Amino acid sequence: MNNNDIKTNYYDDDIVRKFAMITLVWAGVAFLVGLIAALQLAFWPLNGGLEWITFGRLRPLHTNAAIFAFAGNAIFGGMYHSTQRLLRTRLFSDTLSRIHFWGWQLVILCAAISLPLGFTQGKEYAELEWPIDILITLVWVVFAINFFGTLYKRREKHMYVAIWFYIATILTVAVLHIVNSIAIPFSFMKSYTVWAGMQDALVQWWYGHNAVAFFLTTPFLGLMYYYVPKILNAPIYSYRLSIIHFWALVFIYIWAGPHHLLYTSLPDWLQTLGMVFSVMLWAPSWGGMINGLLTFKGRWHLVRSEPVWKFLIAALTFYGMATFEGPLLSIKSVSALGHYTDWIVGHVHGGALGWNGFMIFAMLYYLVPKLWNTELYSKKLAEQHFWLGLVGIILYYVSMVVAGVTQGLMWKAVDSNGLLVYPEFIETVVRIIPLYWIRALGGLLYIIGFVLMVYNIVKTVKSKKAPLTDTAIANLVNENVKDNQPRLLEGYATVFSVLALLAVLVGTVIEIYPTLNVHRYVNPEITTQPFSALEQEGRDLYVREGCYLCHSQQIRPLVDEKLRYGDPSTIEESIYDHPYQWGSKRTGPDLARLGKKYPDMWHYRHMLDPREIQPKSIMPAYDWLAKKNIDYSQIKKKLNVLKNLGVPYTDEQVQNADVDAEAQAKVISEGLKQKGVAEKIENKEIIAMIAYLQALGQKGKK
Amino acid sequence: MFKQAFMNFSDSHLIVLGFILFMGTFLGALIWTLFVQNKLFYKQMSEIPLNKGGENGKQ
Ligand code: HEC
Repeated sequence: MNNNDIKTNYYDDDIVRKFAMITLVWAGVAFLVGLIAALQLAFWPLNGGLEWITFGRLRPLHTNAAIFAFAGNAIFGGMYHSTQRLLRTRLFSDTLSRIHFWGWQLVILCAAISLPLGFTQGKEYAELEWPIDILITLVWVVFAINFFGTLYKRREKHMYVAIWFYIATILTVAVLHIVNSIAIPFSFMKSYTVWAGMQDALVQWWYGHNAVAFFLTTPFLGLMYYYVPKILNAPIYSYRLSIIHFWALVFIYIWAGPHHLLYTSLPDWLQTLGMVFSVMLWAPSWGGMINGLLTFKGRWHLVRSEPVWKFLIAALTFYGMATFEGPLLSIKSVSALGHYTDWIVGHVHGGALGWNGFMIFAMLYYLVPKLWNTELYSKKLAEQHFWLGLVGIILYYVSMVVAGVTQGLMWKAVDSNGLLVYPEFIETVVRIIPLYWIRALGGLLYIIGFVLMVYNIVKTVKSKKAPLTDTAIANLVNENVKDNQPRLLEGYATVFSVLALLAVLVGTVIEIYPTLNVHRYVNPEITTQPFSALEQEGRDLYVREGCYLCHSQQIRPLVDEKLRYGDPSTIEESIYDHPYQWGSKRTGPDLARLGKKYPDMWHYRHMLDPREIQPKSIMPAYDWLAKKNIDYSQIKKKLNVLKNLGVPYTDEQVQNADVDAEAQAKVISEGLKQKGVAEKIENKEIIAMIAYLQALGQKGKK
Repeated sequence: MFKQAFMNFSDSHLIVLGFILFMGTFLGALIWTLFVQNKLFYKQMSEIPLNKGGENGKQ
């Protein structure tokens, strides 16, 4: 058998084995970091007093590992395995496959190093800094060439629906990643996004929501449409339904992003649009779930003895639950209660642990024995994994929904005099801490189940019947797709891809284009002052520490929020914010109007040890801010980049940025000294942070 | 709730445009799959994952 023979007559199974194994490794990392982050909220000392592992830096590591490392590698493996078989050809290029594999692991490694070090763009699920973003783009292009090349040399004329979902995934993720990550660097690892304020919020959630749609949904639906029939040995219940499912889903999903921004200062029509399309999304999502579940029709009695089937059924059920809950949460009045609370965290994990996690587990239990030419070591262990995982998810989900609704109601509670019943934010935190423990227990069970799986898989791989070979392609007839025989849309890959891309771009253009002209929405009577050089420096520290992962900066026009935090936020106030820091979760209170609420000394003590001010606080201590020096050398460059992006700094302000910053720092540190701070703090980061916190809500007033 | 929802319909031309485009896509897909293409074709398509030889390879 020579090399050429292998290339034409065999599938590349080795690359699938690689992706399958690395998926298990990163899954372990993602789960473990998640568990630690969960425990940090229940028990703050676990922040360890180490800057690299505080919640604000660990949480992006967890989400990135879960989405891009765990789910990402699983998707690539599953796509490469099923695509070869559905198109009856080996992947386009063995070399590109390997570059894809190693390139992606390099991306993950860079993320695992840079995120704990505090290099972040401050946008959720798009935290990675510009050099890594470029690397991601390159790897994605390699992936795309490899995939479309395979499509080009396919032996199967018509593309099965799973392939459609893969096409939509590859094209859309490319568009999302590039548009959302556009940034201007000012140093090797730091940059400012070109988007600002409300515009940035919209682009970010157009991206963020569609990362869920096109990284965690469409590829998984493709996998579902392949592996469910494969594992059950029966065709999908309704192929026609799958077609309608596809078009409706890719068309609608892209519009739904603004449901993350209901009641914010995003223009109302966009909020409405996001809400309406989110509610419509319910229909195609359930179409897909029902299609998957009905494939089991007439075979339910077999489920009892097949753990892999159980994983599939549970995954589809969680998909159905999450896609019912999503539209529900997109209704404005429900969002008013649920947004910023742990309900959303519960919602996400129903999807991530239940739908994505269980789909991946099912796929691996099916694939590994096939790829290593052996039998699964133990069905019983897989069964135990299933039940542990299921109980884990339920504990996680229920505890978080209860925590979210409880806290949401407490925030909103107003007495007969029109006063807040729980004016102290911390009261609402203390109430839900027991639920944080239950959540962590749920996560732990899920992880124990996963450990059983790893053991099971390792044992399975060890029992392999050597040597490992690639699978032969069953039928090599009909080499040429271009046989001049009539075919249907499913037979034209290019036309199909263009149509799919168009479906995605329509919503994108209609939503994003008007906001490029932000001035339409701005009140001309209001002039917003940009941050001073020192305040901007503090803002960068705020981003570095991931404060936005616990604090929002966006007050909604709701009675209780006005009572608690002050007037609703306006577009003008954040118009020069690169990146925006509206946040999506209030583990601590909103900070949009924090400036001048407390004296500098209060912040100094609170940042160094929150418990000194608020004994029950769960906020990490940030004592390194008082030890590390402010880096004045970058300030001019920073202001210059911001000026080029449209922030109205004068040339003098840019030229004198460092001098101005030092002068302002001196004033603040003198003040603190008078109040009794003995340490030498003039040049310390804490001063910049205090300057920023005191500036919040002070810009963009009438 | 409806009143509240409709209250926020500014820039309604864009919302209407979005809706029309969606309905077009949706109805298009529906008509295409239900009436234009034939059933046998879909049966063959749905068997691709199961059929080792694939649609074109059936002996
Ligand atoms: C783990 C979540 C968490 C993180 C991360 C976090 N905080 Fe907090 N923060 C809280 C909680 C909870 C409170 C309320 C209790 C208290 O006052 O300490 C709070 C309170 C505050 C307050 C007082 C607000 C008020 O109106 O009383 C400020 C200011 C603050 N945080 C700033 C920050 C800054 C700056 C960072 C980033 C360096 C940060 N926080 C990171 C959870 C967090």
